[in-house]
Amino acid sequence: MPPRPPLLGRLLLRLADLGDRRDDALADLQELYERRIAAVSVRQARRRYVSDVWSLVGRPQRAWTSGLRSDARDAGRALRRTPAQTLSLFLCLFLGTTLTVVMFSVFNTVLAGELPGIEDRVRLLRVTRIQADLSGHDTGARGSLSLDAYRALPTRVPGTTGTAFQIESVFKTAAISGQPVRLRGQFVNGEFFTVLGTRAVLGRPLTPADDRPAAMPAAMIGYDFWVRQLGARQSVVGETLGVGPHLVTIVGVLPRGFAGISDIQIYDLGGGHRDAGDVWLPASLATWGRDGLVMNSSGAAGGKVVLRLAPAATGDDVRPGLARAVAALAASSQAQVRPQPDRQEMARPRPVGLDVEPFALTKEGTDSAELLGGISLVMATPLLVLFIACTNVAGVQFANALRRTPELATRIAVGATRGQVVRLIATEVGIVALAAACVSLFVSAQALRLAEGVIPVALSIDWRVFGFAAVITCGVTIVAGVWPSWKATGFRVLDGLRPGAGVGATLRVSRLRRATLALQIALSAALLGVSLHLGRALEAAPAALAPPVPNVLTATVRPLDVGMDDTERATAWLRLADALPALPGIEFVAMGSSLFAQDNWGSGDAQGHARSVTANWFAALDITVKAGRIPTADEPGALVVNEALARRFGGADVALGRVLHAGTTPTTIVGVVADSYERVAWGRPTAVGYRIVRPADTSLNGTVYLVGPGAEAAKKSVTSILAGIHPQLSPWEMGLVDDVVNSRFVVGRLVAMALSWMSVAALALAGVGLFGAIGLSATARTREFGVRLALGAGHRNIAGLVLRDVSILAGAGLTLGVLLGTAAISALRTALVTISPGDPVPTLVVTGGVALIAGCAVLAPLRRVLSIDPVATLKGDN
Amino acid sequence: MPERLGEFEEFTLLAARALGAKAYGVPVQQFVEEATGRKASIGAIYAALDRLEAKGFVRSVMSEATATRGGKRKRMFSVTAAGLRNVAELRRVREQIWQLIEEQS
Repeated sequence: MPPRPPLLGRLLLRLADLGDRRDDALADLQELYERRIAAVSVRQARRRYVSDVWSLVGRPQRAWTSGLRSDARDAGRALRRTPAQTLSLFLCLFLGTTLTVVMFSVFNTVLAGELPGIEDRVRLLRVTRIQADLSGHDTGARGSLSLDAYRALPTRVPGTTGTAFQIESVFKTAAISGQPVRLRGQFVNGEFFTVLGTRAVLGRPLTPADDRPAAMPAAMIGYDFWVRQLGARQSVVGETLGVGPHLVTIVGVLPRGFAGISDIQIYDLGGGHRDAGDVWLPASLATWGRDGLVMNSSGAAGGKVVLRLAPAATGDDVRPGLARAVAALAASSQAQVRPQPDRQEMARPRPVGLDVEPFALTKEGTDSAELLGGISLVMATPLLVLFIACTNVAGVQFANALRRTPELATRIAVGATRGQVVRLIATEVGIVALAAACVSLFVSAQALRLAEGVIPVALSIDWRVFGFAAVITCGVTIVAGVWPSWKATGFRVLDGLRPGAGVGATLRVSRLRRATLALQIALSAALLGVSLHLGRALEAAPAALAPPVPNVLTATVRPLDVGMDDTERATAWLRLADALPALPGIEFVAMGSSLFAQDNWGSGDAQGHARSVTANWFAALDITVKAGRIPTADEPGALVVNEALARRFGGADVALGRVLHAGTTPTTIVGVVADSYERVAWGRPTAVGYRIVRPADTSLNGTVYLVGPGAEAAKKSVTSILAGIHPQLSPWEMGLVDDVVNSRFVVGRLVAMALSWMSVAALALAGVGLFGAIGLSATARTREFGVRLALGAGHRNIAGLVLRDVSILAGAGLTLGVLLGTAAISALRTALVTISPGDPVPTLVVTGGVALIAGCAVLAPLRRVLSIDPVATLKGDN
Repeated sequence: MPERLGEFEEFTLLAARALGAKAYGVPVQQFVEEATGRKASIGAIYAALDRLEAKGFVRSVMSEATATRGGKRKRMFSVTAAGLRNVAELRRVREQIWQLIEEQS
């Protein structure tokens, strides 16, 4: 017995359209194969067999290209005959592709894609400060750099070609149309634009020559500022602009949407494009204060540093240079022990080092793992929709091919070849896939255009993603359509023409499909549950984290920004303390320093933030005392901490009496107060320690709270009082506390909303799949139902069988989905304390949603089953 | 003027003539390979035979099923009178040319 011919040859042979010569050609091939084995060798015979088959496959090429038009006509007719299935197929392909393309295009652009005015982003590394815990261990969180740390970096960090440094500032200028305008600005080092590869759209970028102390003050302006404030004048280069204390010459205009190395901000819907800076100045123009504070800016939050990697260098080549800088910085700090009697900071987090991360895929001040976790959740959703779409497409295609078994058998019987039948099926699915791809492209482009109003970067379709989604969906569509038709035409023609042909295979496929469907329902239900929980948790977060405080106006006052010295600032705060309570409808006024104002080493939150507040601060925000007492301003050694900080010591009772080092002064914790929304990161309150001071000692930048029924109406008065103190002093952020707190959750809520809509799309697709599966099952069981009816069963009994079928599927999916969702919510609880796994509303909504799709999916099959005529069915007419 | 034949068609036609009543795909392919020393795929042989049949130089009939080849029938080829004339004419032309060559040398 000779060995079987090679598999490849046999597979190719199946594709060969040999027409009426098939039988003798197969016999010839086999005879040749056996002769060659006898005459030469098995190996050579196998090789020649494949080449012989290939020569046969190549012969009928004309047959493949001829008749395409008639195939297209037949395919169109077939698609019109089954509108529900065609629509299901189209919806699955369209939704799966569109969601994937839109979401991945946005994330690719924002996280890893090219940004306006920045060349080769992947070769940039962000330098971050490692945030330490109490014992100096790396917490995993990364923060921004102080000026000291930036200055400690060598001029050229080994492994890099340059360093870009940027620190934000805010100015007022009187130079635009005679009106004072607040400008958002950035100080940058001389080689900033060279390192980023930024080209000016007009004029030239700043250069190292502009960053010398003796250079003529120069500035670049942002594109939007140029358009909005300066009317996009081409003659703007060379004009002068008053920026804070400087009169600068505009040397160039930056590209639209240029954000430097700032984090990308997502603005409120409809906000449109906003550049990160209206004006970009050389760092030599900044007035640097003690400890690296930029005296004419709000740069205390720290600067941003980015390195450009040298060719072939990696992050590992850069880290040793950073370690040397950290060592030099530590040595310098120890050598300059500065008395800081006026600083109210608590024991500051100690720097344990610097690190580098890719500029893409990072967001400063955020734990990378947490960020990636969030991104993964959002990115997983479109993939889930794509998965559901593909499985549904496969299901619909399998069902379609099996349903058409008799038709395909008839075609074979009247002379069509298997290749022709497969080509017909492929044409059908190709038409639907092409239509879905075209509509998806159009809708994706429109959706990205809308998203550009929210996300300040130029968005466009990522063709790699589109290619991926199209290949996946079309591949599944064609394989799932062609393979069963190939199998279906492999039977003996008479078998295929018998009534009930393909039913066995239909039922086998049906079982696999039901399992897949239950999984689809489970995943989409879980996702819907999680997104609803998330949305509700974020909605409830402000009220849950701290009591709502109606009628409290907050205003941030930044005397540092306008260059006021210590005495002027103290006087300013005293004047505010006198004037604000006198406003109509104001009962009392509380004051406190900005949260990060005294933090020399950036915005560390490992130890607890220091805040100097007046004693009525807690009353203004309705913060209750949990343990101990609120000291008076005459007790400089007494400290109040919030519960978040107290928990680090083991609870309120344990924290009382503990000594914390505040600058050079030891302070004792005498009171513990409830957490408030000082700063909320995804619902986690920040640890804060309060020292009670008099208004004059609020000192640097700070916040005022005006309490009383006239709070909202006091906005104009506050603005004019500030202007009376200093012409350039105006509130940085002003609004009712509840509104300001709510605004912090806007982005989170948007994300939750997007997730909810995507999960609704996923659930709807699962419904489409359910419809197909139940319909297929009902069709396959038509004869069985006919027999049951003939034996005396009623139509209601038969309907009960179908309903039981759908209930089992939907119930299994729902149960699994709720379990999965509960597990996911429990995991999310560590990040968002207000999320509640026991909240019944999302579960009810999910249950209702699953019931709704199940109800819609079963309607048509139910109607079909109820109209079964047992006589006609048994005769084979049905 | 005889109908034009390609080289491979001519070899195939001659092979069919040489094999006589035993001419079908496999022996023709083997004959061509052995006679020319070149590899010939079965697809190429089929294509050549199809073209020869279309030109009227060979005709094919299906043989009776036999126990060999799994009961599958063979497509047997035989050279038609036109085919015989054509190869004879080709041979005559070639011999004339060679004769001329020999006379000149």
